Amino acid sequence: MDDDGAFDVVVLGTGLTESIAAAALAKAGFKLAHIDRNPYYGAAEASLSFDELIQWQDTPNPGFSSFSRSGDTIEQARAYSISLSPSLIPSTGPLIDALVASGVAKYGGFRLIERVCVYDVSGAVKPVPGSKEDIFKNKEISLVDKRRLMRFLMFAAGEFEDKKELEGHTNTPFPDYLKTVFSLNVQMTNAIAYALAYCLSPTDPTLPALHRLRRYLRSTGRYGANPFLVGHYGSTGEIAQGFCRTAAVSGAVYILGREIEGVVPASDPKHIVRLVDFPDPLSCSLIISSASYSSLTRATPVVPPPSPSSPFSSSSPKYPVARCIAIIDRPLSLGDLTVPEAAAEKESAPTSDEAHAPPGAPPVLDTAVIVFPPSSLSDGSSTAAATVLLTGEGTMSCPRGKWILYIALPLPGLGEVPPDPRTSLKPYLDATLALASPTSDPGIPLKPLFSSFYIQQHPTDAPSPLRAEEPVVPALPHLTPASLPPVLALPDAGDAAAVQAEAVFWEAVRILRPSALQPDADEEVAITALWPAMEIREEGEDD
Amino acid sequence: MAPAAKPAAPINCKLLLIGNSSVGKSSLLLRFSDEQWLPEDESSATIGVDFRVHKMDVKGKKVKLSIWDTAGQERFRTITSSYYRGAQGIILVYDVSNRESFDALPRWYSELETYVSDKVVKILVGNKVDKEFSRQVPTAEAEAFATRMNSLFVEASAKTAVGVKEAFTDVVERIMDIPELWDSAAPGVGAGTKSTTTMPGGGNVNLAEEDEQSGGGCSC
Repeated sequence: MDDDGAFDVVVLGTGLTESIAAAALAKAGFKLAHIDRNPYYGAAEASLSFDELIQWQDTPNPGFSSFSRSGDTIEQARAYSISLSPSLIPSTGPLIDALVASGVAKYGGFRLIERVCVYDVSGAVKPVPGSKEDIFKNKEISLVDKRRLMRFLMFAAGEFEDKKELEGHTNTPFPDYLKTVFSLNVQMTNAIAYALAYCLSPTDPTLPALHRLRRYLRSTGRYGANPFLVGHYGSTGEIAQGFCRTAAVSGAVYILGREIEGVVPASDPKHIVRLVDFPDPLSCSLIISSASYSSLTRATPVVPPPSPSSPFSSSSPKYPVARCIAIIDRPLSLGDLTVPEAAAEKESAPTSDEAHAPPGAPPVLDTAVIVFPPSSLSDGSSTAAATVLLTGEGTMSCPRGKWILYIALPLPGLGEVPPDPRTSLKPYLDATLALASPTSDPGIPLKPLFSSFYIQQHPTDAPSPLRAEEPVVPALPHLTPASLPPVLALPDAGDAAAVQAEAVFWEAVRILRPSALQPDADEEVAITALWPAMEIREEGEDD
Repeated sequence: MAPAAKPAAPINCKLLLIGNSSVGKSSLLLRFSDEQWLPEDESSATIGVDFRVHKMDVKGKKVKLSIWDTAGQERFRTITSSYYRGAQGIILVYDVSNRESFDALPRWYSELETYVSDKVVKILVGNKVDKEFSRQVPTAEAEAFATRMNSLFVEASAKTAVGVKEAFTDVVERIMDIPELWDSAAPGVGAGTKSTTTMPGGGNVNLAEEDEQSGGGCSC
């Protein structure tokens, strides 16, 4: 880099959206500086070690509040990568596409979710039938119901937009739609709405739910039976770091852990960004900042319009979410119902890895999702579904024999003052802990080694520190991608970020180098894709 | 009990370069892997060096080295924690003609303490011995420091190629002496250094090498 501090773009914030956009812009040849006020990468989507998590909780973070926790220490603290944005990655979709096309995929490993279960009012967990095979094998579903379920899944996986079944129902609450149009019973409705389509509440409209469901159904089978992956080392935060490294390989300059003193207009059309404890100001033609920096830059943000094809519309609800992070040292046993049944049918079932486990020792679950539909717990929420994501050693996010539980519960319609997150989530944590594999002494309940509860607000609802003394910057080019709402469906955060990042990328190119977008642009300058074709490395992967 | 390894399967080994800006990390890497030297006026701060793959035979074993460069993120000390994941060997580089780059080493060691297991093999490399006339770090001092930090030590010059091959080979040989760093059958040393192949069960997905998926998993 030059030392004159002159850049095409300064990106503020290393959240996933900003990191993907930075990588794409750096690869396209723009000079870029990427700054974060935190000393770690990932902003609100970071993956933190245990000690970093404790520090993070003790530092004011816009958007996060009401922290409580059981303790400040744990053994092997450094071996944890705890995600601030626990989510799943569908096996097909914008994020996977970006990971593969950018080359970032090679920086990290991923793991398939092993099991998705629905918590039943009866206190049992039921596996979610997500494929034809699952439905055939399932002995709890009557033949009539199997047919209805199959009919619905065929519909949902296909081009349903013009089908008569959807007519007049695009805004019908999805669970009602499943009941009335496809005559599905309550159990199946719950499984489909909350554990296949990841609806957040009983009032979620049908069309977006169907769009999500179709994307997930089409992800099934790409990498395995389950449509979802989780990244190693805390997933989202690690992935954001991968995109930042890619940007750096293309010459982007990284500065972390420094507060932005201010952004001031200069005589020529350049932003000047001053950092605290940093000698030279940075100048740039365009600022891209996450919403948590917008009060500092004080420019009129130009938010790129969401792509019309985007399923991640701005209509996602703006209410807060209560979160729990718990660490346990006994595996969960999530009703290995289908496994023995399938085995009983002998030859027909393909042998899985789990079949190699020694007899008598049930396979230990490393990754799973448990969904609690509304009203599934008497002392739980009746207006929202809670999700529990379990990640174990196989995800490289914790030491052997430990598991991290992430519980999330949206808090719709609760007004200004959110309830105590501990009170809201304790029933879900207890119900999950009750699913732990029994020990030799069955009387001992599972007690988490650590648990913490907090609230994550929708970013724009969060108070942001205004700096009144800063002059208001005229409308110099400045892009602020919408922050990821905390209450996105569990598998949607990464894809939403990737979609936003692409919109930001094209808008940035339009501002910085419009000639690159001309249809008759020279091959040298033309930018035709978010990610340039990857060079074939000479060292062949010949093994 | 342990399954016999396929005869041709090389041992994967991840090495990292760290150290201050401009000490010649990328130059050492390019000299070793591509036998190239970029004169100083042409090599600005690192752009475009991600990692290099290099195959070698060490102590009768085939080793596939991937050697990672900092991508310039050492400049403001913003190396990603993900950079350190799964490394078996660390090459710490300073410039013998730049005292400051040597004095910065304790900070790099403390970063290693944060991110990697203490089992990981370290080598301290004093680069640019071709600038003997302007040396600021005596060999004996650096060697004593390396010993104190439980590291191997070598002086080298990416420009003249002196000591370069030795630096990389020394690290790999030492790694081969510590099977738990690379042999999945050996007892693990903590999540930070395990390769994904040692993880229990199936379910690991490598997006970058989709084709390998069919051949992955259990080898029985």
